[in-house]
Amino acid sequence: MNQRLLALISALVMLGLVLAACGPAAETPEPAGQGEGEPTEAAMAEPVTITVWHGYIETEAETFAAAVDDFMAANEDVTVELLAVPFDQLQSKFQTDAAAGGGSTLITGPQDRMAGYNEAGLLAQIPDDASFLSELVPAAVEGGRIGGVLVGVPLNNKVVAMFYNKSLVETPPADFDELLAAAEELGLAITSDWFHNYMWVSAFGAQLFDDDYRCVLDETGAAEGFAYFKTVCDSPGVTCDPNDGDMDILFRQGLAAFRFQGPWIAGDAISDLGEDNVGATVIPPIPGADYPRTWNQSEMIQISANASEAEQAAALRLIEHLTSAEVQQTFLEAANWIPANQNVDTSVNQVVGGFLDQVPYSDPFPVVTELNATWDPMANAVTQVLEEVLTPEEALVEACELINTANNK
Amino acid sequence: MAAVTPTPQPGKIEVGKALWEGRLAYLYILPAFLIMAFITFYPIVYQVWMAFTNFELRHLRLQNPEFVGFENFVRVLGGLPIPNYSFGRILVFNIVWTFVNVFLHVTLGILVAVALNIKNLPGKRLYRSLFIIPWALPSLVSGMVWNNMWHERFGAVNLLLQELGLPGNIRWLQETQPVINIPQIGLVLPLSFFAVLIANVWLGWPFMMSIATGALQSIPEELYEAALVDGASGWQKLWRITLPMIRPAMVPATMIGIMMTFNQFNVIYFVTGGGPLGLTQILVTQGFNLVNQQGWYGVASAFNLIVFLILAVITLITNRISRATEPYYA
Repeated sequence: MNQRLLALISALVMLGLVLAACGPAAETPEPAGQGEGEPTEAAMAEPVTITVWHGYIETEAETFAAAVDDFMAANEDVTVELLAVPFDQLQSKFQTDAAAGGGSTLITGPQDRMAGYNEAGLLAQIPDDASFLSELVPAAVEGGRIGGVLVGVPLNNKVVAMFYNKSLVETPPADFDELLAAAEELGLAITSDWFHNYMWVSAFGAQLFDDDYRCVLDETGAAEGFAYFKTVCDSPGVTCDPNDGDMDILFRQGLAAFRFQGPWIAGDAISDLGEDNVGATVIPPIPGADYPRTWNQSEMIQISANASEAEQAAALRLIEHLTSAEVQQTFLEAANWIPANQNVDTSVNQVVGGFLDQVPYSDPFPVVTELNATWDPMANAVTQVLEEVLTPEEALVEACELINTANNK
Repeated sequence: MAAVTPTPQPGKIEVGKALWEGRLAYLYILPAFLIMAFITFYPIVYQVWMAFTNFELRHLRLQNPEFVGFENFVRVLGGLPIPNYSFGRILVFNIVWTFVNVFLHVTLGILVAVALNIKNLPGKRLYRSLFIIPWALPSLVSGMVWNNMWHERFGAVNLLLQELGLPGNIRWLQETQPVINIPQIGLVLPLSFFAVLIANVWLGWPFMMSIATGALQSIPEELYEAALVDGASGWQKLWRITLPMIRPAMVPATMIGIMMTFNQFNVIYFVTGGGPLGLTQILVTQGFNLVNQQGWYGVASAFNLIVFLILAVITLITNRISRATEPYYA
């Protein structure tokens, strides 16, 4: 009898679980371009918790967390939970989680990642009439649109320039010959991935895509650029390694006096080497070619399409706070961010000044899904060239073939 | 003409009777079956369905994927637009990786277990405890530690070599020139293969040692005494008594070792990341990349179904050769 009772209870429990699993899921808000305008005031009054996923470490993470703490102190109805995700895992984590109905309320990251998020319907529309947008650099705000719909707000501008250690280098080199001569004794650290090394192909007049976003590196002067890059890496005193963090360490420990990198390591470099010893300037021109043009992009903050109305309202208030002139000034001073807010005085920061000098020698980042297919093949091409597995011409032909096949071009 | 009465089929009656008699047992396993249905069978069926569609990241939220037949399977075997991809080469590497590892795990495990089985060996229990540490550590942690140890500039291995006055700038994980290259069978083994092999052998032999130790304890002492009387040498005792007696325990352990090593994701992913140039990629890490980096769920499903079939065949072959599931004393 007892056994029968136990069996009956087990069956009922399982039936309950099955019925619960078959119940309706939580409502999913409409993605970008399908929702209505700004959230109602009633929703804004409710206490709400929002989450932000970011890829910051060290100085950037501390500065960002401090700004969020200030926001929560001034907005007691909003709790913000931060989650630092390794930069190279952030995109896939958000894409997978958000597509399954989870993920964070807000996500920060490079501008190019927006295209993939938006294609998968993961981003909420940001109202065009949000008042704080008028304070931001108009071109940067326009960079947050995909298909005319605003889905991202710029937090800062990022461009790769040349760091140098002022305690070792009195005057930055005027061209690459001078740089390589100085590097023989003082050291130059280069990350041998694709992002940092687009500049070689641009210096030799090549372009990544044609108008139809078909890879054309195999048709233009890119091979010449890669051949020069190989020459640079083979030069004495130059270290080329795909591990970005290792190359940063060489500069931060004074083992390399020069480093091609974005402003995101400025705060850490200053804390290691001292404020007076960290300088940034334009990457010098290559004799017989042009200035290496690095990629220029905004770092965007976006709202997840999964966010409820109240969460979207709170997220907008946080974005307004993070892009305000006051907070952007803090980002500039503490983390050396190039501000997105045009009312911030950048003249006080020499490191950021060096990056602003690089901007005219930079190319806008293509915010298209086709770019996603370039990272692995081009990083592979860089390795093949540096390791002498293939010639630059062969490596680029192979890379473009893979990219164009993946993009159906 | 008399009507023919259908004769009851004995088999059906017996099955029905058995089902009825076991109804309470079936009711007891029903909860477990329902849970398994949701967390195991449903995902497997779902994956099989995905393998025949063009399921990509965008389909998780927005659209229904289209049925593409066997296209994904053809692409997996024929070639995908990602660097260094060759299903055949990865499969050959995966098989070599598996059997070299398992051979070393089993050999080392048995040798150490036999050594530690010597009577009155001082500190025997301490050694056994220490040797089990690699197995007790999460393989993720071990993988990351070994990755740091093989680092070209800051790694313990190169720093130690420098201390010893030896060349201490070896590019353990980055050297692309193969140490072994047999193009006829698509086998390319770079230096990083040996680096990750050492890491996985360190990780894997304690398991085999534990199994062998247990099996050694069960060998009756009288057998060795009889062998001694017969004048058997130590080598003969090992080959004629020890190994045959521990075989029933070691064969299933070896089978498990083959399956675990074939799918040893953590060590490959965290030590070499499949590099350089994808030369240490195994099937399971490649399958992961198809989803994590590319978002090709349909292709990845087809890929992993093929991997499942390959592993099933390998298991059947090794099972046949080793007779692992046959009763040993029958």
